[in-house]
Amino acid sequence: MSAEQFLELAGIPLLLFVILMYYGMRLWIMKDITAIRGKNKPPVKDEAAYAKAAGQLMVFFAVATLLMMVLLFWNLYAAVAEIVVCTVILGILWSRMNKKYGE
Amino acid sequence: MVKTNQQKIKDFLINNGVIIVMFILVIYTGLTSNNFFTGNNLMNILTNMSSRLVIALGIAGCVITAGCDLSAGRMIGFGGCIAGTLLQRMDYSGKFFPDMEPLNVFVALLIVMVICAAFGTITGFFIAYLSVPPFIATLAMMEIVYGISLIYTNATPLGGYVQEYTNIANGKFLGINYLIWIAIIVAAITWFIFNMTRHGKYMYAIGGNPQAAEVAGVPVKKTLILIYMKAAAMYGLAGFMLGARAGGASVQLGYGYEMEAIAACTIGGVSVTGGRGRVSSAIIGVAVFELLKVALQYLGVDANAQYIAIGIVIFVAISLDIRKYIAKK
Repeated sequence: MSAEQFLELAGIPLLLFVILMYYGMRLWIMKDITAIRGKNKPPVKDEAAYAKAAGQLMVFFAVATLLMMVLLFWNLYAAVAEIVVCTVILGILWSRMNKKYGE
Repeated sequence: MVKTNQQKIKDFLINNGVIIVMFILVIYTGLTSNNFFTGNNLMNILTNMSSRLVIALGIAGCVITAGCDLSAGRMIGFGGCIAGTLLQRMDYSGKFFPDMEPLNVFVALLIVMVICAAFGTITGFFIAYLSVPPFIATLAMMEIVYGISLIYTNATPLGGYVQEYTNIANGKFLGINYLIWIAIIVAAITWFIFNMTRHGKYMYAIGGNPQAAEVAGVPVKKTLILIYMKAAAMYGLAGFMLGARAGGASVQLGYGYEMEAIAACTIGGVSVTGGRGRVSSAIIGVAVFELLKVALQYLGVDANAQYIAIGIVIFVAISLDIRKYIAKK
């Protein structure tokens, strides 16, 4: 497989992995919640805990994206099933995290 | 504090700097190229603008609520692929559904828009009910739709469309291409929704201050779902239009269009911080963006350098928008 073919198939998940890792690290390590909330949103209940939990969830989804990229070369159905399941998990966990530390 | 005329002029020049520079570039290109200011070129630009405008109008709704929709490009590709598989000629050797008669063009369009709208509804649900930030929810949907598109088409490019479908891109009414008419109709409907309906007012209220909107009785969650659903239906329509124009489609159709659409909205005056933006903003933004691309082509700028120029425009436009927001604060 040429680099061009690789990027054609895996380029989008790879790009998303980098973006999600960047935001995940900004949240988890730098505790910068404006990275995802913007500057005109109301303050959260516990900023440090919110940033850590949100960062961890972003990294989780980044890893899910990377896994999807690998699965794309093996089985398309498995790749889609994996990302759908991970998206649902992300949604549920994010909702819980928001209730606990957010607004 | 009352601003002097000089300050007002300075603010105007800074806030509309991108549009002014584009305007100068277009005039320069027109004066230095023989074929730029011609009827054919104008029609070509308007036809190219048509699908971009439909996408931008969809995204504008999301941006007005201080959101975004990064799944637009993939939805366009998916929409184009669905339309393609439903509208292939019976005698085409690579027909995707060999035994299926091609559907009526309007039925196919309806199917495309309904399927895309369903995905948009899911995105809206994640944003409204699970409080997932729009950019994460739409990134996730981008991946899901990309994966589903790959499964649906088996990563095979589609072609061999029925003439009724390709005629949408070639046919004319009153001397104007059907695609342009579609864009005009979509713009008119969007204008009506934004300005004349309760949903439109709710949208601006949410963008201005979601907490205040909720306290004031605005159904924030339902409105957000509707916005993302409507936007996704528009991406489906744009995919359908692009497929007709190209005479083929693949999962790569619409790649990167979401960024151009967000940038076009921002250039035109739809604020990324929410609460501000009109249909005319999207039209101006798309026109400026399309003119920039055509002008750069006419000036013989290298294709890769064009990407850099477009990137600079996006960067400057968003920086100016944030400057406006800070000044307002």
